Amino acid sequence: MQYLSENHQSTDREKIFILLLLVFLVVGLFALPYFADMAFINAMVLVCIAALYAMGYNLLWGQAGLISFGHATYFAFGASCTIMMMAGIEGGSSFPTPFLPLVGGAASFLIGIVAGWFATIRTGVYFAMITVAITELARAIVQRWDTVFGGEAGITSIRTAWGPFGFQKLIDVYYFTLVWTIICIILLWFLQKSPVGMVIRGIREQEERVRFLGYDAHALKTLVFAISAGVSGMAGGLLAFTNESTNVTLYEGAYSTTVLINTVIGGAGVFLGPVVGATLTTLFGYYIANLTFHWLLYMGLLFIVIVVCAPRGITGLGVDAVMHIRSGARLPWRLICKQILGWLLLSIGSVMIIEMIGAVLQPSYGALARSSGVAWPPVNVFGINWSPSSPLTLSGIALIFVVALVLLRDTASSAHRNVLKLAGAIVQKPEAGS
Amino acid sequence: MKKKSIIHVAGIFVSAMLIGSAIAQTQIDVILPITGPTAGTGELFKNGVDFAFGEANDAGGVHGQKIAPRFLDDGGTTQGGTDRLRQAISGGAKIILQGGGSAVAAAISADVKRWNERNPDNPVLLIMMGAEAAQLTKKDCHFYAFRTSTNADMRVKALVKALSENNRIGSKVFAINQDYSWGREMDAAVKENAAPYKYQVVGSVLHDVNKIQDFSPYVERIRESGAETVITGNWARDLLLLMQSVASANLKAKFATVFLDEKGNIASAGRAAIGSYVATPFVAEAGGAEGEAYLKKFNEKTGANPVSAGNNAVIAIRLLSRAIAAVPDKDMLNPTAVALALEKTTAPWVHGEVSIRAEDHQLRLPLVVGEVSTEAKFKLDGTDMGLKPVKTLTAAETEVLPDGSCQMQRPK
Amino acid sequence: MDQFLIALLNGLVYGLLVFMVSAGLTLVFGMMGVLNFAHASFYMLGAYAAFFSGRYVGFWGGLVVATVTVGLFGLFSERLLMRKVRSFGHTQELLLTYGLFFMLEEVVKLLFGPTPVAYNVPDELRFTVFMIGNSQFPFFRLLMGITALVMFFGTYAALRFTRIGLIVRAAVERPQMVSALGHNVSLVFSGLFTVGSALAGLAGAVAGMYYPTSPAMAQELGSIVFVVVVIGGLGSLNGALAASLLIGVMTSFAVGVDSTFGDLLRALGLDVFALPGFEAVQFSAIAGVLPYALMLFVLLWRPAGFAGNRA
Repeated sequence: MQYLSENHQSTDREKIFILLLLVFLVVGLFALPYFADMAFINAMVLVCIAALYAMGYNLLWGQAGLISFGHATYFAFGASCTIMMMAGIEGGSSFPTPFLPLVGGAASFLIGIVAGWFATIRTGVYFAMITVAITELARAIVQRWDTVFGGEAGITSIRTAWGPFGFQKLIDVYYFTLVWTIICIILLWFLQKSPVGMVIRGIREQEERVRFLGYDAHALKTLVFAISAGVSGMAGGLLAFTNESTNVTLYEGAYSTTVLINTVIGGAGVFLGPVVGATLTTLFGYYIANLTFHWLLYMGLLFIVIVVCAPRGITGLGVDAVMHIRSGARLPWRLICKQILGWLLLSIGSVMIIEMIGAVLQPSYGALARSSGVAWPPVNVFGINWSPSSPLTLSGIALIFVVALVLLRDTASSAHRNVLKLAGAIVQKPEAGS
Repeated sequence: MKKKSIIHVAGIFVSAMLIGSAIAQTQIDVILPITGPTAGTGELFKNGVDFAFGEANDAGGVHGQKIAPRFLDDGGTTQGGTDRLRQAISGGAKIILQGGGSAVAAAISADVKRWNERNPDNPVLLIMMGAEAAQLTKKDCHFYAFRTSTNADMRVKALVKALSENNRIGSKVFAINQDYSWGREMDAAVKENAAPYKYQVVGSVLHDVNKIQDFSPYVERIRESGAETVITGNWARDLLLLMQSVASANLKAKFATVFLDEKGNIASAGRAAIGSYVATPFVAEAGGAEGEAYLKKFNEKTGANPVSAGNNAVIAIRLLSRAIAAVPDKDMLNPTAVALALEKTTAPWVHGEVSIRAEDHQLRLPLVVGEVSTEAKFKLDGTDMGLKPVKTLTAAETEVLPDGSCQMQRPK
Repeated sequence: MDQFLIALLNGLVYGLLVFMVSAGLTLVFGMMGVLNFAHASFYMLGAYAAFFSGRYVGFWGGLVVATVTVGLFGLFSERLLMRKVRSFGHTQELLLTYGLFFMLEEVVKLLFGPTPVAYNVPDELRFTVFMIGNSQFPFFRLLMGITALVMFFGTYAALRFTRIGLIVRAAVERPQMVSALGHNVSLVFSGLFTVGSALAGLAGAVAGMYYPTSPAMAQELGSIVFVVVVIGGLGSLNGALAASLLIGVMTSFAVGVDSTFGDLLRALGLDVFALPGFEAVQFSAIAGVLPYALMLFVLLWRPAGFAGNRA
């Protein structure tokens, strides 16, 4: 699989643009507490943690081409070790609090070496299955070993102040998490640019050739696995830091799948792709979960749409757009507007139907119908009360869908052709510098 | 095709945001697992909450104001619990209700304790409606945490008391439970009550939670031990599979459970449930006319039966609304004042008055031990089976006195 | 002796149930190189479809409807969704099936609620077939076992003795060659996927009556099914059967054993390794984990079925 972002040199103009964008973003993140409420700051702490976790995870996927289905173990182990160290500091140890995430990172790095050595013996689906087996085993062991891991009640501790830092307020935690996340991402960037990174990508493309060049592919893959586990462990450590507790549910499958979904949605091919995916899903889960109880369904649908229509993730779409512009063509604005409107209408229509079905199938709806005497009491969607049986509602929804499909119909096949053309074009072009 | 997807994402976002604008800011936050693996339990709590708030508002509200719940979904995870708690606090909530499993409750309780320590001028009151882990009112108790449900000790005591007084318990008891805090507490409670109630624990098992596909080997062990009664705190899948294995293996032992009446269990267990016992807060037939009226009203409002945890929610809100009514107007949402009032309030309940102990903030609750039977007056789960009361135990009879491990720091 | 026999029979029946679900999965993987995460979801859909339709067309009708519905659903997802992503590689297909798995659970929750539904064995089928000692062996368990065996022999016979079976087996080995010989390989793929899904649906319809039918069904069985498919060899029907039976019996016996790790270590004279907290763990408690340990072992030592470019 070719990754567009690696096969082209950014022009100087693009480089400056991206750099400015990043600087703007970082400044914005640091200024956040001045104009956001506690809930949003808390959400952003989780976003940073998820982003770091995903970046660590993507080291394995984007760089080494190995998809792990069991990364929760390293994330959770980092959290567990960090909380134990926090308890140690609470008990009198003089380990400096600001270095806590390193504890998690180092611990996960060590078990990552062991796990990675075994896992990287195989590739592809078999690698994935090994990671699943390892994570299930780890989970079972940890959930039993209560004396060390605390069982499902978990281990609690507190953040101990150190030097000029109190660490007692949420804002302190936010800056702490932000700083560590940025430092790690920068280090990952340099790793990617380094010769090691290049060899790893070589292994991803043509392992046999790299072997013939004299490199020990297995050792290198193990190293990458260990670093990936370590970074994920640091993210886990940050989680332990902000929550001041961990428990064994962190070792369960859900935490492995979340990071996978984040990476897919964001895009594994672009360096900061996973960050985009993590931000999106975390904020989505945080806020949308309060608005509708079917948010998991929407997330699943979104995931499928991205997998089918945007296989390189959201950032992949961005890169495609850039390539499109670069190849000289202008962006077809009318087409884009049509598509935007079409998809928006399709989304609105689907959301309405799903929300209505969900509301109607609740037992309390039946009770309401019986007690109020109305056969189909109204359902509240988008702040308006719709009556499910009224012809206005039904025809309104039908109209939305019809218009959406009309708008999207003529764009479908041409867009598909475009994708294949771009993919084909990249493969056929000679490698003009990397 | 590719560019569309960004738009689809935006579309879903926007659409979902628009839905939310309809939900108004309310006074009392309720953190429940509405999605996630324990969503079934969350549904029970939600029904109870909806009913109880409706009941309070129909009676005029508190201090002339209507109260409304704002539901926050914690997804059944401790991370979710922490997130929603922070969201609630940042939204200005002072009184927070929580329903769901013990792990989440423990995490939220610890978070509340830490918040109160760090912000002594701005405390937050937490009422845990359904967590049954004993430590929450023992080692981990604190002034601003209340528990309106029973715990393992109380449930087991109720079961063995009722069954032994009716000569149904036999002399050999087997305990099978899940291997985590709740299950272990049940296990310990069964063993502790052996001497006073004159039975012998002939075997006990702790098994993986929600992982066992086939309980037949355990059933064989029970058979071998010759047990006449099996006491289990299992819930959901673990309970269902256990009962099915028992029925198909033609085991003669009787089952005494804690969660059999949760929605879907009896329907799913089918005939395997007949003859089993459950110690639960509410059995309609045991409540006489009042019980029947309550059942009817609950059904009308929510479309569901008041089973298991739903009743805990109703009790919690009845106590809370009376406590708030007891404080002066200006202190209506003052956590300290309301907490002090909660320690003294009583509330009416079908099977007897309920109140909260001041020493550890544990609820005193009457329990009913019922038997699953086709002869029951009120059927459950859409089946032809219901709960026939065996014995109603008063709050004094079910109470397990505090053992002194709760050292609460009271505000001045 | 009775104990042993009962544990053995129970283990076999459970193993056969797992086989019913894993049969389709292993064939599809062997043929298409795609590990269908949604396969366990098809199992769940079968149970719900049978539950829903059983109320209108009776028990046996419900089974038929479930099988056909899920088969069709499998066909649609293959044609509409998986085709689209095939051009982007195996990874995308894997992710798509994962997304389907995720989404189907939510759809079921939307339509039927998060709690188990009352899908039970009908009363006329609740009788005992034979007794072992004190234990009754219910007819329904026998029915599950028979269905699984019929499924196995039927599929095996179809693959071995019919012309279609020959083409399918050839297409598993050399899809391009078979295509060059003029057969419509993509049609064969679709057909196989449909049949695999239908089998999973039937398994769900039958098992859902015995085990609780809830949205969590897919996740619960899903992981065991993958273990079985890996241990048995991806693509091998016989292997899936052998592995399912092995796992079923192993789990069944492990649960029945009462000793702890501490006992084992002491018996071996390795007392020093008996760490507190670990030595008190009973074998039965890890019954659920043994399959994963075995899977890890197989993957590392000999991922049988590994066919070079399949990786």
